[in-house]
Amino acid sequence: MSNILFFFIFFSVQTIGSAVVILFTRNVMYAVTALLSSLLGVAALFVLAGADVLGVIQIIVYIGGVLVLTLFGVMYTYQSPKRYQESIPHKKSVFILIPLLFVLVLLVQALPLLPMIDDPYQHASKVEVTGMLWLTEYLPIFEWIGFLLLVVLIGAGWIGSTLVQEDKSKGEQV
Amino acid sequence: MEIPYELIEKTILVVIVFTVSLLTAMYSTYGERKISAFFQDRIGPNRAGPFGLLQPLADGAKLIFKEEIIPISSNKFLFILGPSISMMTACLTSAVIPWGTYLEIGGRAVEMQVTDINIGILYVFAIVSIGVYGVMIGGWASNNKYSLMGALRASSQMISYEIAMGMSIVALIMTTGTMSLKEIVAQQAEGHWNIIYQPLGFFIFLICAFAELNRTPFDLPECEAELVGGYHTEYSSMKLGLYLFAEYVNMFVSSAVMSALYFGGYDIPFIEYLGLSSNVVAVLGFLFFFAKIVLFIFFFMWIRWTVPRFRYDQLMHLGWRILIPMAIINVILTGVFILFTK
Repeated sequence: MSNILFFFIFFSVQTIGSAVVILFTRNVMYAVTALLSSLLGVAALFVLAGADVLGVIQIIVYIGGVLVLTLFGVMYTYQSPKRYQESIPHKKSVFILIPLLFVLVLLVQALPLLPMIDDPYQHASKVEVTGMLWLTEYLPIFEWIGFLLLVVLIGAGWIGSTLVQEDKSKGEQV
Repeated sequence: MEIPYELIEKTILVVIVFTVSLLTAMYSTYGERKISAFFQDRIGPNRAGPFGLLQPLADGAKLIFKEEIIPISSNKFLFILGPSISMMTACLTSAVIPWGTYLEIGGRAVEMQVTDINIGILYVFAIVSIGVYGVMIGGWASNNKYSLMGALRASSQMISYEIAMGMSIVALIMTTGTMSLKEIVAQQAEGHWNIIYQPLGFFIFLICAFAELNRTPFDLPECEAELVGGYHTEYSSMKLGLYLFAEYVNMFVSSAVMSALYFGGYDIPFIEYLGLSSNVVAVLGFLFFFAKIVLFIFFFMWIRWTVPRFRYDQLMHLGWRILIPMAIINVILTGVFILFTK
């Protein structure tokens, strides 16, 4: 088995296994941690496919930005971790069997394709190509999205500020 | 069978980098205590070994052998995961830092960098953004008000300052035209250090580095006057040790990143006129780089024992209303400068 295939299977199991955990857990924090692991797995798969920039952007945007804010929300709706304690029947066997099952499925799926995915990773970096595309062909699209986000930001700020003012005026009446 | 030279070289290099960063972090704790003692007109640790030099070993042994307490109301899995993430991310970043030029061993040029990836800076940034999870998950899993508040403070502070840090790096990338740390250091050869072209950017980066490291004056996540110990209130034994140690490893790594990005890395100005062999230059360069790192670490400690802690609203005010606009202005100024000079 080639190295690339080994890592591909490893990160696939990580990604899919974590996604399954998100589906079945009742603990919000476990779900967030599993999502973190899943997103990391996706980033690694991007890098394996030769899209290094995309992999790192995935980490910075989704893990460093979106998921942190999600976690923030979870923490503000704080409940005792005790409440989330869940009892899984046959805990150990479940945690060993499910990943094993995935490895088996992936092996059966991937082995016939072995010659096709021998070395998909091109060592040339995609930084320049991506940068050129961003700043030429796709620039107007990004500009529009940026404009849209600016409108959203200003709107959110405005709503927040008027709410604060209302709160203050209420306080004065009392 | 062909001998996999590159694999052996890289393995040895990884072990060396790992050892050096851990040892430096270990003796940073000693340095911190000696420097704080100096600032407060005390003597500092002086019992374990000559000048107290064995103090970090004694501290480590104490932390390892102490009774380990995992609170019964905590979430055990996440409680252990927190410090693990902190320590892991602290050690990951040093992989892309160029520690020197190259050594010639047996006719082979051995690079003094674990891996040179084209997206080096982005990689550093990505790892830093994962680091906040260690604090957040650990703080939540402790099931303690102070821990939770510390974790909340840490995450909001890190998110706020990451933006300004990213913008200051954008301006740097505009002047260098590359994201590979190796190339950035190579471009600064012969004294063309980036600090000359990006003084404002460096200033912003430095302040953000303080905030990312949770060190005074930005140590609100663990400020003992309000939050007992902040996110690590419930931690004991080596898990507490890992949190504290990760902070020192992070300090070492961010000092290295700052030296590499703004102060020429391993570059010694005018060394090419001495006519030394490349191996000697590489070793001297590494030592010079290390000296820069130690200077930065000293600077971190100097600030810690001099400047008082910010209030929380002051911290947010500084991040959002001063540093981010300054960073944007810096980007615009850099753009105008490039437009008219190149």
